[in-house]
Amino acid sequence: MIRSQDALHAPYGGVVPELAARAHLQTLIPVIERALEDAGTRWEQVDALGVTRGPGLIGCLLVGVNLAQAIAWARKLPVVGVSHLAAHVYAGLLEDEDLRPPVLGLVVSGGHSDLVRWQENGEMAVIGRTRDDAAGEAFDKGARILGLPFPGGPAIDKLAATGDARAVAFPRPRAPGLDFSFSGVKTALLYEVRKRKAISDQARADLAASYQEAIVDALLQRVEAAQAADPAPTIVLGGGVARNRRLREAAQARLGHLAHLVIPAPELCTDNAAMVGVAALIEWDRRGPDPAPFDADPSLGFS
Amino acid sequence: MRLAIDTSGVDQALAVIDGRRVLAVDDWIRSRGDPPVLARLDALVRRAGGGPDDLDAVVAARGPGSFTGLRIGLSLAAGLAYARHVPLYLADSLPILARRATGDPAAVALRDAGRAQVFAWREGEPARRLPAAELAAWLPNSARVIAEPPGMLATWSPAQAHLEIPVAERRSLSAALTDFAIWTFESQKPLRYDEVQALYVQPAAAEERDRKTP
Ligand SMILES: [Zn+2]
Repeated sequence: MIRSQDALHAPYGGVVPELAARAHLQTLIPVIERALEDAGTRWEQVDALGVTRGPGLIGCLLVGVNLAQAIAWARKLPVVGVSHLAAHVYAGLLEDEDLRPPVLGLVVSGGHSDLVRWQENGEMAVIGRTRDDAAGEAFDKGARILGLPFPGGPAIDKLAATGDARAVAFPRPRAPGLDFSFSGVKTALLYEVRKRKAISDQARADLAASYQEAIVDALLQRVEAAQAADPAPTIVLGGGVARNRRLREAAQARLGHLAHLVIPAPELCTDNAAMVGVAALIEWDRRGPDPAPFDADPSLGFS
Repeated sequence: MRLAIDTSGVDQALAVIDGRRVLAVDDWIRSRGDPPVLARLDALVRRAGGGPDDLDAVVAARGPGSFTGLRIGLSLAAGLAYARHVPLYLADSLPILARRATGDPAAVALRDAGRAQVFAWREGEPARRLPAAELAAWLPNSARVIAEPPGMLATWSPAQAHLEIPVAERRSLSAALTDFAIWTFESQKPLRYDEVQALYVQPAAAEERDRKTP
């Protein structure tokens, strides 16, 4: 059960933290009720709760963490607090239930671009991160430059399908080691748009396709480099940007022969609670439920 | 047993009551590194001789007040009421604060709203948000004032500093909360779980702007 706030935030061209937290308070319980109903489940059949402890917007995390733990306390159920980022990697289990570490994971979303290793001991090690914008931010900002609606990722994805990805040679984002950097390519797009007096529909599609290609190429280049340095039997892609059709297609072509490639269905790449449920199961096996009440942690990493 | 939660301000409190009888209370001052409120709540309910199954109703302060504190208090209250299928009530924070003064007439409650603004409440009116500089004109010279944080009236309106009730003469927040909770349980209507919302008191200018936006 996913309750999207995209429509709520669309008029502002991005997520408004205060709006998000207000909506959370009012919608969370009805969403829980609907999810139970859709699953044909009653509370009496629920054995435990999993909840995102972080990272994210503090106002939203506070609502989730406190509501979930209050319900758990009142119903005497155990609760497992998990990392939203790790959950994007664990989401691979929703696609392939035999998925086991070691796994090389790429988590790309509006807030994150992280390259991680889910190790055999269960820990997650971050081996690459963005130096500036996240990949999803790069898509959102690019979409705004191109005059496309929020959320920008799907808008560019759609428009790019009718464009020529080789029309404009955008610079490939470079950062040291396995890190990412997207501010350069965003600036290049801005200059490209500014130097043209008028942009035809075809030119806009070409720009979108070329811009998307630069981001996708940069992401996959880092995964290839990490895989070359220390090959993992399995590679998992996750996060909202992993819905991008060009990224999924190019990943299949470039990574498919390097490892067992797992890309969850688009709706399981976007933020969802099923991945939090899987994460709670994995964390439960590893360390058990949380023994005492815990706080939200907006800057939590992968564990 | 019924539970009352006020985490909307600097002083925070929980109270467990049975009818009009107080079973257990907890007062603390908000600070970094506090244990989660749920840990306090768990300890308090046990101290009152009960457990989750004994909960009959929940009331939480809905503000105006701290963004973080309100989200914690309202989420806990909603979660508890929903999970136990018991009535959920919300109560305005400033009238609770005002009850830290005893006797008549009811005290005026002032709470720091940040950015040189003050949340202000007096009997018979909704809470408002004022620039501290406008407080002197709004505040009756006969008023008895509960200010939060204490001592702030001297900063907001120095000429009226003497109107503030000294800390030593104030009741605990939990005592004020208990009073207000009993009144709420006995006379107010419970909310639906999807009606849970913090009370936002915007400056007059922002309200004006909101009315113009469709
Ligand atoms: Zn995410």
